[in-house]
Amino acid sequence: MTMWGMLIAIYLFLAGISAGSYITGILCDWYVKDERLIKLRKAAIWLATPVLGLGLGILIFDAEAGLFNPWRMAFLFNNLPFSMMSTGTLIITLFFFLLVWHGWLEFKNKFVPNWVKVTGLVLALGTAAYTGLLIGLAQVPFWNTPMLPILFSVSGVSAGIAAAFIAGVMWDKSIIEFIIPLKKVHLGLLVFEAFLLFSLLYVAASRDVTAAQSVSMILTGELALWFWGGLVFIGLVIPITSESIELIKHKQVEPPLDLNLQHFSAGKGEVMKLYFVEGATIFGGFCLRLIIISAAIPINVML
Amino acid sequence: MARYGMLIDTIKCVNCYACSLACQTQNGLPDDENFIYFLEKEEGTFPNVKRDFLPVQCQHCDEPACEEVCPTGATYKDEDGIVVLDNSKCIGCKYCGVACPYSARVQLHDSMYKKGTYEDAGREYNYTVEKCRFCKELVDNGEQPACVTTCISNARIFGDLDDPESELSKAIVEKKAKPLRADLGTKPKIYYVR
Ligand code: SF4
Ligand code: SF4
Ligand code: SF4
Repeated sequence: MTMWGMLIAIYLFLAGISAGSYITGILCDWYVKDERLIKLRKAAIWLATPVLGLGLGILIFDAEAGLFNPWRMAFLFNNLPFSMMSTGTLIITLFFFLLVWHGWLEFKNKFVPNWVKVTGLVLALGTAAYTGLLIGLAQVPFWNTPMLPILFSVSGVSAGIAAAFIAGVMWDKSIIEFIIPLKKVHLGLLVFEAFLLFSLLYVAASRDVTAAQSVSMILTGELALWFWGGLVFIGLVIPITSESIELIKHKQVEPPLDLNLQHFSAGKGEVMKLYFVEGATIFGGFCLRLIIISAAIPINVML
Repeated sequence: MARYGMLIDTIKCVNCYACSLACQTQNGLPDDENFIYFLEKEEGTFPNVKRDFLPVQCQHCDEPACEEVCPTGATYKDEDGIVVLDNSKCIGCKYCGVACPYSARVQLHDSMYKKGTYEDAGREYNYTVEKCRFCKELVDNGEQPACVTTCISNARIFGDLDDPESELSKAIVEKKAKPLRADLGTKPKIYYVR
């Protein structure tokens, strides 16, 4: 463990979810282009706002010297663009304002100009990448792999999609039937995440003695339960299996002739299953950050 | 303008912890907080055991990792190469502590330090992420850092690295002292004899 603990893990996790949720909203618009997903889009964009706000709140809460002397927060942007903390906080702050505005436009059912969505998408991707770069640039052997920022981005987006699904379905169960295209994206991300995770561990273990200690802490040491149980089983195996089965099933079932009749409007079981599987993805995303933060071992200066 | 550095002779060092005690007093630190910590390693097998005992503190890097990541500019290098901290700017984000390869930063808060010592000087440890400042307040007065004057075996030498005639520069050459983990690229200015 370094000086950063649980609170930073939660902060990075929330920022990732927020970015992912917003990206889901944009995907509804630009990728799926399905009018019936309007509620999912709105839910995704609205959800992103309080989640990011909470994350920023936790960041400030963890920076106690600033918390007790709030005017010092004005210095936060002094080291642009060299400090990832300055740059990242700037990105997140801009993203937050954009979210509030975009959310307001959605709320008023007003037209959302394309440049708002493009800016939002860029800021969301920036936020997701920043959560990985912030720790990736610190001098901790286990964190200094090129995979880490990508892994954090991918996992943030994947957890964000999951959170948006839950929020959307809570609002309107019927969207379950129309999210198949998004589920494909989600499945792809989950598989990519698993690949990144294991290549990160492999590269870290073979590159540096201290990083190798971190890896064994994760695979067989005190973090093993979080890793195998929380991240691998709950966060990856469950969602990957369940989403794959669903996609295969979906291919076999002939689509109803007229979808608008809602032949098989989502049953309770279907909804509960979605909550469970997406909840598992989110939990896995949290485990990932907790594990990566906790497994950090400072550089061995005695060599 | 100088470029201050230090030499620590670990062969002379007798592990008495006098330096860390003096440092605590000088900086008004509580008993369980330190700017100097000790690393220990045993090498070889009995009876040829070599014990490596290393007092570590801020290495006053010429290219400080902590300064690079500090968002507020609270951490900076002064004109004499001493890496210092402006408490009135630090927000306590601890990024410096995570970025420093030498684990040289310590977060302190009000209830922990002995009141009186630094309140008068305007230094308040309210959750700021502190470090050794090469006793800047003493050095600016032409004195030596507290850990150097206290050391019972004269294992520590403080001085100007830019002055080839200084006791420090000569000792570094003569004893072939080397910085810790120079490969990390922060250009540390504490030289160790090991
Ligand atoms: S040793 Fe650490 S705290 Fe000291 S100057 Fe170097 S990076 Fe900064
Ligand atoms: S804790 Fe203070 S000194 Fe350290 S990086 Fe943050 S603002 Fe700078
Ligand atoms: S130079 Fe001063 S502040 Fe630094 S370790 Fe020595 S006594 Fe402590």
